[in-house]
Amino acid sequence: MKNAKKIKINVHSLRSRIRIVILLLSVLLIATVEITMTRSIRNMAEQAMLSRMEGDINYIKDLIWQADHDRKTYSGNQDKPVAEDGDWSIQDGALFYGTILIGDGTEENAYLEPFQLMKGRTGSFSYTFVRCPDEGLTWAGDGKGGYQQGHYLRVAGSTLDSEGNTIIGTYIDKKVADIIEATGIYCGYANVVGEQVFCMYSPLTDQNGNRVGVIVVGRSVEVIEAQTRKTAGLLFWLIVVSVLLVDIVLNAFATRWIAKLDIANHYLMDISTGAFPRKPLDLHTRDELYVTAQCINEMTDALKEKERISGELEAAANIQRYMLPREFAENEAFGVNAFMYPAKEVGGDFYDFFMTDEDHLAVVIADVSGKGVPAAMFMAIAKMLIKNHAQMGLKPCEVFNRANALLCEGNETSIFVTAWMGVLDLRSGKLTYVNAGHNPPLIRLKDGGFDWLKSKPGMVLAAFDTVKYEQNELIMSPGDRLFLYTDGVTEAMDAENSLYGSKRLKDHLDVHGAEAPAQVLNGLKADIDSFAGGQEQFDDITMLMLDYREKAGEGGNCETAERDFPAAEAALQDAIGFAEETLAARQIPARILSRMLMAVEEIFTNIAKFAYPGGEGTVSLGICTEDKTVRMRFTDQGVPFDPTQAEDPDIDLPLEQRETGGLGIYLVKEIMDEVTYSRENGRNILQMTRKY
Amino acid sequence: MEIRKETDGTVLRFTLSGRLDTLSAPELEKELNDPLIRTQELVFDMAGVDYISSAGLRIFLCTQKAVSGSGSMKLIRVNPDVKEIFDITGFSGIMDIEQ
Repeated sequence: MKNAKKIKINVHSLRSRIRIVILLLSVLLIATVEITMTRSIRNMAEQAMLSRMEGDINYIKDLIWQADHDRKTYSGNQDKPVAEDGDWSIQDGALFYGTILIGDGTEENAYLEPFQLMKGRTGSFSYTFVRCPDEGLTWAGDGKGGYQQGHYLRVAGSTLDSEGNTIIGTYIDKKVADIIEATGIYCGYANVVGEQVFCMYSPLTDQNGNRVGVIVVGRSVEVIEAQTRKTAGLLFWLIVVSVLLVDIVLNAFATRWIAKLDIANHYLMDISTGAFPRKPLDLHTRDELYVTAQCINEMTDALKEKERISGELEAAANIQRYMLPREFAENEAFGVNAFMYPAKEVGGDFYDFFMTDEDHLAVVIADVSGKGVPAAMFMAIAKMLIKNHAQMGLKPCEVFNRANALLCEGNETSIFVTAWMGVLDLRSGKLTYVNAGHNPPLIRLKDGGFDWLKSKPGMVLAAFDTVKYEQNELIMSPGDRLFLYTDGVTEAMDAENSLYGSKRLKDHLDVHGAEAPAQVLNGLKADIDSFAGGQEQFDDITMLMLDYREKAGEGGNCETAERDFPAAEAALQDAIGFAEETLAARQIPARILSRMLMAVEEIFTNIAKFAYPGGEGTVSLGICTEDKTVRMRFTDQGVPFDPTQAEDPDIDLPLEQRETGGLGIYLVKEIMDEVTYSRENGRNILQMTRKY
Repeated sequence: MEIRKETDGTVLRFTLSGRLDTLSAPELEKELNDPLIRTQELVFDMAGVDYISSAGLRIFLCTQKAVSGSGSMKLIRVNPDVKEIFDITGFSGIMDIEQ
């Protein structure tokens, strides 16, 4: 958790993106609206224009009517035929309103060109066109002739040609003319008298209903376009303002949401660095972000719980590590050094060493199957059971018998333990050891090389509660060394998955095994590490080195009196005398003295009787006293015989079944606190001690 | 090792003194080797015995076996130190021992 990297983020990218999207959408919206609306605006302007032009046409017709009426009243020319209102005709190629010749150039008729007035009134312009008669026009022509039937020509009473003649002017637009010819009416754009205009044509009919001409009212296209531009411009700004308002609102919302996301992000960043905020995350919303916050809070709680558990696991691992003795012994009698290098988390290996009494040092190494907390718990139990039973003074095999039985109780998980324990008698050098399925240790005897201390291994611990373990013995001499290890040593792997192996181990020890224990172990670990080349190891690596230095009780205070005797009953008296004299001189209490003499008598007699069958030999008796302890040692070169292995007589048998032999050795074992036997260099060495 | 032997009616009394060890045991053994011993009421006065080893124990065990069923055997006035040896070896359970 603590190693989590600080996440590098661009905290503004989402906000910028939202802003850009809003902006783009706004531009798109404005453009679309503007384009579609401009067309409608134009249509509307055209419609407005049309209705106005319709009014204009009606006004013009009214004017004509009024003019006719006025003319009648004004001129008093009553005899002339009066046409009905709007009664247009063409006679002899000229246009008449009733009897009035339009555009005849006379003052009287001049005002019948009323259309010029229109500009002043509505801003429209107007023209009158006449339909070319079936027969060509002869009147007021421009002299060019060539009129075609169905053409509409503009009536321009005030228009003069170069010779001063009134002319009927310009053609109407051909396209328009065709439409008018077909439908009689046209609204729209057209070219009128050389100008592009928006206009309306209204037909003029004679009394027979024949179309004789048209009135055109129009306005410059410019006017419509200006009006359209003006309205569209207004609309544009209206849309821009509305869209901007919407943008501001959206942006405010987005900013608010993103700000909440930012809060959530910072909260998560804190968690990712292992700093759990005290308060739960509250984004002050009831929307989807609320769910996000809830989930983050639940996740935080779960993480806290995990953190707590992992903290406890770490504590468990520490407890386990501290359970292993780390104050190593370095004294005159022996040196012990050890370490466990856990592969991962909590492992199952352990080593142990402790004194079971003043003179006995126990060394233990074990490997619990499996990993993690179950293995660690089992390891703690196994370690305590072995140590407790060993410190009760039980024999090593019995320690394993009992520890095994207890470990089997309720071991549903099929965890098992391989273990090796040796108990070294520091006075005699006797090592009693027991093996429960563990790889045998290496031992170096007498300046030689290291070799495996092989013994028939027993069943692993915690597998079957009925297993009986066997112990073996061996005498270590000062300078001898014992190296215990777990298979993590020999099974350390390099990158190619090859194993460190037994040979490398033995070779290393043979070269460096004489160095100080701590140095040996560190050197070996370094060798394994260089072999593994940084490869992570799957198994714990555990090792222990015992350096036996000096027989306790032989240096310092222990003054040894030693004498050789012939191994014959005749010398018994001398031997007892020697013992009595030696012990009496050292103020041994009489009762103990008597017991010691009894032991001397029993052992000496035994040796005299059995050590040298049919021959002669000597027996050496050494006696020393130290710290209120008597130590005696018999050495002979006779046939190998270990009295400690002799079967004890059953003292509870009834008389008839009692054996008369074996009593002597039994007595000695009972009298002495400890009796040990070893065979070295062809010699039987029997050592015994008794405290007083 | 001093061995004094006296007959008192049906009782054959041995008064022992000194060390009953490997060296002296054969002496006592010789005294008890007589087949007639088997029918006797034997009493060993152990007041003077301050030391006994397995050789001595063996003699008492053999004698006890011999008299068993036909005679009897009793150790009296046994020194506590010696009595302890009888206790250790379980002899106290199969012999009549008085302190």
